[in-house]
Amino acid sequence: MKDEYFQEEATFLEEARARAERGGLSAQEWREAYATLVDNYENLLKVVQVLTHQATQLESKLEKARAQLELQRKALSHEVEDLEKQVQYQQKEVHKKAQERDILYDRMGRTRLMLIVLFAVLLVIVAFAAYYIFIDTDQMIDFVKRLRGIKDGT
Amino acid sequence: MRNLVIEPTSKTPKVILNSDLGIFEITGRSIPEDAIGFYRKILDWIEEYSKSPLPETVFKFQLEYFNTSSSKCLLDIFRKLERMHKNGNKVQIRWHYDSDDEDMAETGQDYQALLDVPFELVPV
Repeated sequence: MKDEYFQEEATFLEEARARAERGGLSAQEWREAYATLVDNYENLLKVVQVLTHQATQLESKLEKARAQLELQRKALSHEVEDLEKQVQYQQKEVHKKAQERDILYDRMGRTRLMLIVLFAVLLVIVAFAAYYIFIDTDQMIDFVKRLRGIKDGT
Repeated sequence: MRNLVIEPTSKTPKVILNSDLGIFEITGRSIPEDAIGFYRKILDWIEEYSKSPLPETVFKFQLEYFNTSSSKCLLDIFRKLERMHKNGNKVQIRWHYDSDDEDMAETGQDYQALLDVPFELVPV
């Protein structure tokens, strides 16, 4: 049996045609064959009506689905546009923050350098003071005496 | 006789035809490109089963979506069941459909009007 739709109906049609071509039927046989043909035709008509109705329903469903998809596509397109705008805004913000951070790093660098210089100067002063107080005490005493002499005016 | 079980795919329904347990079901969606190729083995199975059916055959259909060619194949199945019924066997078709799906309910009604076999519409 070939895999075709309406196979039974096609087979019946072929048989009916062959029978008609053979001829030799009595009036009664013709009437019976005709009645069967009408019954089958009626049945086929009902099937076609049902299938047509269902096909129309399916088309309608597909059309609804297509319309819904179109709406969703538009909504998504708007969302994508909004997101792109947000991304651009965020990129600008990030750039701005990065610039601010660079400026802050510059300031911090300068402050750090100043503190190092100050610390170095302080260290030199303390080193000199420590040298004269703890190591070269005589010169320190001389120095203090000279200072006092200057102060006393002698 | 050998039972027929076909697992579902994205385009074809699940089929359970088990004469030992008395389960006859086609569920899911049916949109195969070659519907007649898919339904041929089901029709052949029913044809074979109809030679010595169980005392009662309840055939469950629960389809969420199917294309027009599947619809014709379903009609062919119904016709075979109708023939079994006319031959004096107890046969019932149960058409399960989503209670929100008016189209599927209407499709069931279309089949019901077309057939001369007990055909029950079951909203789920």
